[in-house]
Amino acid sequence: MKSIYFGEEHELFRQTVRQFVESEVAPHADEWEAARRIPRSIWRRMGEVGFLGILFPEALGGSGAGLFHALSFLEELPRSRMGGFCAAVSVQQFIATGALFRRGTDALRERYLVPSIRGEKVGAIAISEPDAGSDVAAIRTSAVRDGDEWVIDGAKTWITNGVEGDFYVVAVKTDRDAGTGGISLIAMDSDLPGIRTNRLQKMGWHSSDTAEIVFEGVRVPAANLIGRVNRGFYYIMETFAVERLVTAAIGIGSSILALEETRRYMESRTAFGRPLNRFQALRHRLADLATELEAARQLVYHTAWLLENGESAIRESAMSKLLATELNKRLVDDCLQFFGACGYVEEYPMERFYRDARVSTIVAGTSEIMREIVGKTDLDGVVFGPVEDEVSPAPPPSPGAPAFPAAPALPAPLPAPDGLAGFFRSLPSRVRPEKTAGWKSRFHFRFKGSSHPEWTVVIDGPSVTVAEGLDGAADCVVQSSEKVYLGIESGSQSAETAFLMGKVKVSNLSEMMKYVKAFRPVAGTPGRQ
Amino acid sequence: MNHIVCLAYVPDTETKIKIGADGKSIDESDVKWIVSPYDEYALEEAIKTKETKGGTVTVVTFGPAKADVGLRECLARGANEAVRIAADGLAQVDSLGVAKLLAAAIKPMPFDVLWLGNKGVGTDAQTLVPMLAEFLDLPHVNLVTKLEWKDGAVTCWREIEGAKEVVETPLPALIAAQKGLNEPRYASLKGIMAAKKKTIAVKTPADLGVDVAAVSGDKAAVRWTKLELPPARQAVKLIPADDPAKAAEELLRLLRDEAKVL
Repeated sequence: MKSIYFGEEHELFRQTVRQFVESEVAPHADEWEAARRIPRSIWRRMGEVGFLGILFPEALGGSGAGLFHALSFLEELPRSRMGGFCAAVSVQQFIATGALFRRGTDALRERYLVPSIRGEKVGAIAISEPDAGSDVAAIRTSAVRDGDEWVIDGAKTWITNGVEGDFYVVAVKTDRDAGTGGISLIAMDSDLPGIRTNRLQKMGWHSSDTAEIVFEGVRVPAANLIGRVNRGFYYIMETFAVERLVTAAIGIGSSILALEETRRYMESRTAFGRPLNRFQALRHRLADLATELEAARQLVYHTAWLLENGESAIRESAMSKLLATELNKRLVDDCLQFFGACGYVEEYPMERFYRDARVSTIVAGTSEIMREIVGKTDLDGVVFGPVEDEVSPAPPPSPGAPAFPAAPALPAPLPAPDGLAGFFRSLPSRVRPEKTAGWKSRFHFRFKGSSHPEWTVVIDGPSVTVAEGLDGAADCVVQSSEKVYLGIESGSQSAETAFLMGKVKVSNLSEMMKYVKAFRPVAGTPGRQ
Repeated sequence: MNHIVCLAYVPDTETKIKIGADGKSIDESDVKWIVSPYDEYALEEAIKTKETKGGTVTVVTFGPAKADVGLRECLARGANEAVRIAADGLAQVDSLGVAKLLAAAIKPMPFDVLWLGNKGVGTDAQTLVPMLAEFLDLPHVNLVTKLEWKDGAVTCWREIEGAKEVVETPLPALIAAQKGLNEPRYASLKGIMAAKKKTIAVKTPADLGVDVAAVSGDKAAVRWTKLELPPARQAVKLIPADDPAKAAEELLRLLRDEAKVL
């Protein structure tokens, strides 16, 4: 056994992908890079062999496989010798279609996701704008409801597959004043009246198209809304960890290939009467790179393992993306040096590897954003919870469409109690006994600057007691502000977003996740609706 | 129509072969193993035919436990069942022995077409096809590059020197695939996932009633006594072409006196 993560079937899939990419993609790399596009035929071919629906269920034409199959695929993709190809294919499968799959109606899945798995349609996700990248809350593209349609105005940029793609998943503001709570996701055809695209000319990734997209009075059917209105930020967050893992895995695969090419070159090229791989100074540098690569690879695998086991892995996926892409950037630079002047000419692979690697520390969240996330977890004690949408089940399946597990219906919210004290006093009446059965736990809540700053909640099976002040030894301590906590309780702010923004600190995450599920929600706070 | 495909699990054609310490077998330590490419053509044709005409495809190999990986790949591509005759711990078995083992395993299984690659990329002995046909009392057609199915028979286009020969054989028959018959498919991920759940039937020579000692090691009809690598390629000799006539003369002289090919 060579790995605790990969078995025989992963290896077989990896070999299949390698053979496919080496024989059906890589020979066309120069041609597609020069043409700055990927032909449709290769999408359909990949659809045929099941490369475009690795994680999606068989009912939709996918393979129902796991993240380690996805990693096997992603690590081999760079053998296409085109960073742009890797980007186009991974965006289609792992990034643009995630929200459609998890939150879209059956009709939307049928229209966009199923053909994308078959390779018949190419998709893009449009979030970034000229003034808003990872700062998703700052987007300005708006969607206004007009009868049975959304009317969309605004501009997006840095959109992979934006020119060639057949459909977009677009992040729009549906509530101008609500920040992250006012963003929605809408799916649409890319050829609607009012959509204009412009292909950006880039340093690398030539075979992939990167677009600016302008929306001017674009009318989209109301039914194209993905999930619920104003929950888009949340849906985007759901895909972040996977998006970072995907980018990290491509970085790892690119580095593996670059080292392979370098070893081959060092064996064949002689200087001063011996092959380059006999020079100790070069050998040691190569050994260092190989060692770092192995370490980064194992972090990526560990992150995938966490995700497969239901952990949110926000910290580890940010670390993986940071480490794997920064290493890739540095590694191709070093490898190019080993090639000498040959590294700098287009006849040899390093020239393109070098150009293509550069953007990896920028896309899918810059290294600086990744460091901010790690800073939040490791310096501010922020704990990121799993992303679960307790209050917004997926829309019910439409008749005649393939069956999908529908989220359970939730009871209607209870009327809103008044203020912090009201919320706490209402807890015993809101308890869900089926969630608290056999569970004993004591929570301390601290609210800085509140007139009721300290609360103790004791859960003992179905019985819940609430008292003001801190009493006994807590199993979990929760610190926040009164405003944030009321926002979470009333549903106007998601608990996960609050974690992400560092507005809630929790000492024991697993206890808190149980707590969140243990009580029925209440209606929105007065003045917020 | 039911199909049985016999396949060999062989060193990748790109492997740099090293000779083992005993001087008569290959050093397997760095070898990547693959299903022999000619057997892949046979498998592809069997699966294609199954897909249009119904029936099942069973793959059979004689090999050690690591050959299960190759069998599983065949299951992933669309074979229904897999049988491995266990070669673990056996001394070298020659083609005759392999033919006896395969025949014993295949005999009780009902089939319309028995498929093989035209040769195994390994020892390249090219003797298994006629031997197996003989043991199973089957008509056989080798070097097949095209087929046309009829009721209870098949028309085969086979390569002969400088031409194609068209022959017809009744079924059941043994057909040996040649390059050009088809383009083998990739295993789909869905197929790989499904293959994971299938079991490979493992049979020992004793299960098949074959006395393996009589066809292996010192008792084998063909024994490997020594392996040698081809001589290393010599440096390229460049002939100055200032005077084409003289250069041609020099080339002829070298081909005749040094290379001894004229």
